[in-house]
Amino acid sequence: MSSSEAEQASSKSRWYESKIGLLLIGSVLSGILVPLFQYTQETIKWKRQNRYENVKYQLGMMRDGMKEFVMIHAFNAEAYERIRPFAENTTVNSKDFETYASQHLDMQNRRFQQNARFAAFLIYFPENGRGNLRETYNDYLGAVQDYMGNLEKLVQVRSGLVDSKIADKSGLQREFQQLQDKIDSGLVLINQKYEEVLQMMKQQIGGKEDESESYM
Amino acid sequence: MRARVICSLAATSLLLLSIEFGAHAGRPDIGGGSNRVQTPYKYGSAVTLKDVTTVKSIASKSRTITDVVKAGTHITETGENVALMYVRGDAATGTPLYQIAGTTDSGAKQSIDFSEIESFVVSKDESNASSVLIDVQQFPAISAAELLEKKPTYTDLTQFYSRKIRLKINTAGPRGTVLALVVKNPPAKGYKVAAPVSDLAGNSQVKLGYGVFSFQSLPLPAIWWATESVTSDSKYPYRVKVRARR
Repeated sequence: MSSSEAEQASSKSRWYESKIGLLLIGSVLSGILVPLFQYTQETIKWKRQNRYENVKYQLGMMRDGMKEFVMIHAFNAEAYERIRPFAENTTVNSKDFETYASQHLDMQNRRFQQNARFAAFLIYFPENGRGNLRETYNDYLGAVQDYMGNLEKLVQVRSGLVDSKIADKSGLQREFQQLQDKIDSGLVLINQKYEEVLQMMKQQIGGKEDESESYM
Repeated sequence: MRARVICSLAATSLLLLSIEFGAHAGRPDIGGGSNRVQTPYKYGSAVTLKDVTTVKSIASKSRTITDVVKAGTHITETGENVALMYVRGDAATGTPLYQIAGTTDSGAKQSIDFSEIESFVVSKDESNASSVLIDVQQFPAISAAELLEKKPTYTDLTQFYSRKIRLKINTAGPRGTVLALVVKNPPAKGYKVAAPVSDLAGNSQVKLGYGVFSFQSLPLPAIWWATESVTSDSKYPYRVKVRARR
């Protein structure tokens, strides 16, 4: 390299090392690159926080849904208690049957409302498990429907047993006994279906809890 | 298994037709229900040794688990027909084992059949990475013959025939397999891995429930020790009630 070229090269490098050059480089770094980096970091952080909040909200709704489902199950106990005087050897009269009919209707209405309340929470369960959950819940409802039907029938048969106009009650006695057995086995089936629905919800909630922790 | 002794379609007044997915004792109940006892035996009929041993052997293979906690995840496991098996990965194709076998603190070998296990707790063995310590709650620790001879009540069983045994078991199996809890949930035909034993959360209790078996198209609970002397006790917990989970 000639001496003039060498002088030119060294003046360029001296420019970067000059005060004005360093000031310009510093300005670019602090004015453009650093804010850009910070902005990108903040965006990532904000997106993660947003996803975490969504998961947290969804988790809360799933847990509330599970609570509503437990409340549904309590109606099976209430329904049995209402027919207990008719199932056991308690003296019952026509007024008792009328009282039962109106109380049973009221209980059914409350039960349907609770079913609807729970159904509204199903949309918060993850899509990949929701179909299965809905199907299992419908199986549970089917078992409950059969159980409620048998409870009502038991009361009707008991009404026949106390009716003095009916002479031969042996058939009714047999039916009464069979219904008691059906009610017992129906309740056990309901417990089984209840466990299945609950377990599904618990597993999906557990999966969502794992997901929420992954954001930490 | 004789029809007349185990069950009869004609006399079901006190015999519960149980289709329950595991009969768990001690879970909090919502209340309601007839409260009638759950038993595989016909009330008022003589129960023979063969009946009890038959139901006992069914009970071994039909235990259930609920809410088993694994370390590192909130997802719990539930299943029927629980067994132990040496598995590789997720492939549960080995031979199912229906007992917990290991060595006691004194070095003696001991094996407890699943039909006699109420629950167990797994903890780490600090001295050996490929073994775990299992505290087994054995209930009832009574043979079928002694059950029929002594006719204990449920209270007698809990007071005199319940014990805790600590076993050290090897979790490493042949050809790189590991010991795992497996379940078979109908209608699936095969087993699936619920959790490797070493993955069970430390100090978390695994309770075994009783499954059901079919007899003359009737589903019966496999509570082999639920003879009349036991179920007559008011403290006997397996009854028809509206149940809620813990």
